[in-house]
Amino acid sequence: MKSLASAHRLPSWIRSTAALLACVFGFHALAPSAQAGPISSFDMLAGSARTADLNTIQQALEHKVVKQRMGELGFTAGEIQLRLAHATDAELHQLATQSETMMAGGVIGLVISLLVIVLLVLLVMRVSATPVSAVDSRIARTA
Amino acid sequence: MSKGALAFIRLGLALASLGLTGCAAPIGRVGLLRLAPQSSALFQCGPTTLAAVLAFHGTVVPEDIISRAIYSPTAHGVLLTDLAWFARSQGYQTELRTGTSEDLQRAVAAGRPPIVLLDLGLGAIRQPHFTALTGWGEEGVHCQGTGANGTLVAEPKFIRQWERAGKQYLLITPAS
Repeated sequence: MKSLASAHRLPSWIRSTAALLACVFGFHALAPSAQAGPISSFDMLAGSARTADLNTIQQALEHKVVKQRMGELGFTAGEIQLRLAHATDAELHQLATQSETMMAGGVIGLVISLLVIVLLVLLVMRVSATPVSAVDSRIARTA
Repeated sequence: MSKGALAFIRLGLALASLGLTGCAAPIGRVGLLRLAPQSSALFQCGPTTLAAVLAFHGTVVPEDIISRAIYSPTAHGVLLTDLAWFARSQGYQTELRTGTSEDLQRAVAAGRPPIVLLDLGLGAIRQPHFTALTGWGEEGVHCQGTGANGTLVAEPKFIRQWERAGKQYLLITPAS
């Protein structure tokens, strides 16, 4: 009781500072503590070896995907080898992730497009050129 | 001035200093870069585009030399990585990326015409084509073309063609 009475006589700035410190330490006590410490060399090497192995596997898979896609595009085996040798790791990764859109830039598609259009036009002309009398006679025979 | 007003002003200054009101300004119209026109030779859009970009950076290499180095007669074309490799062989730094239209605009604004792969086809019909960007504005996207003034493509059309080809671009930079 005597201590409470004496506390009221303390200056306000001391009381507010004490309250602030109490809050800060209180939050600190509630916050989860992070554990940090040295790890053994064995654990560190095991982790980095696993990462290296995963990178090797990823590169091998990307190599395979890119090689297959280049073959589909028409590159010869020698051209594929040359391109894989010249590509950086980042480019190889880019090619692998974009394998479905990988295209050899040129205008070959234009040629194919024109051929398709010509074939369609010829087909339409052939169908429309069928004489009406021939159709009528076929209908008469089946009636 | 009342204490409340003063506190309000202080709060406003504090928030402003945190950058909460800051945002990236739009890139706006990007000036035109001058590139040599593309050759109209069949299947040579890649080599001719690369020749123009290298010439823009100060290295003149004839298109036929580039074509002999990287063109595949069986695949009837070249890959973006082929263009990158040849540029590196000439001493340039290259960056092959997948990005956004803002990335392209920034590259043009920085004086680095990006080489892009477009798919000019429709539906299942693919028509790959290389070109370099020379400008970007409200009127559309300026691309290298066969004419001296290049080709102007409406932005939605360009974006569609670029997306069909995977939104890839190649940046070529002189080695510092």
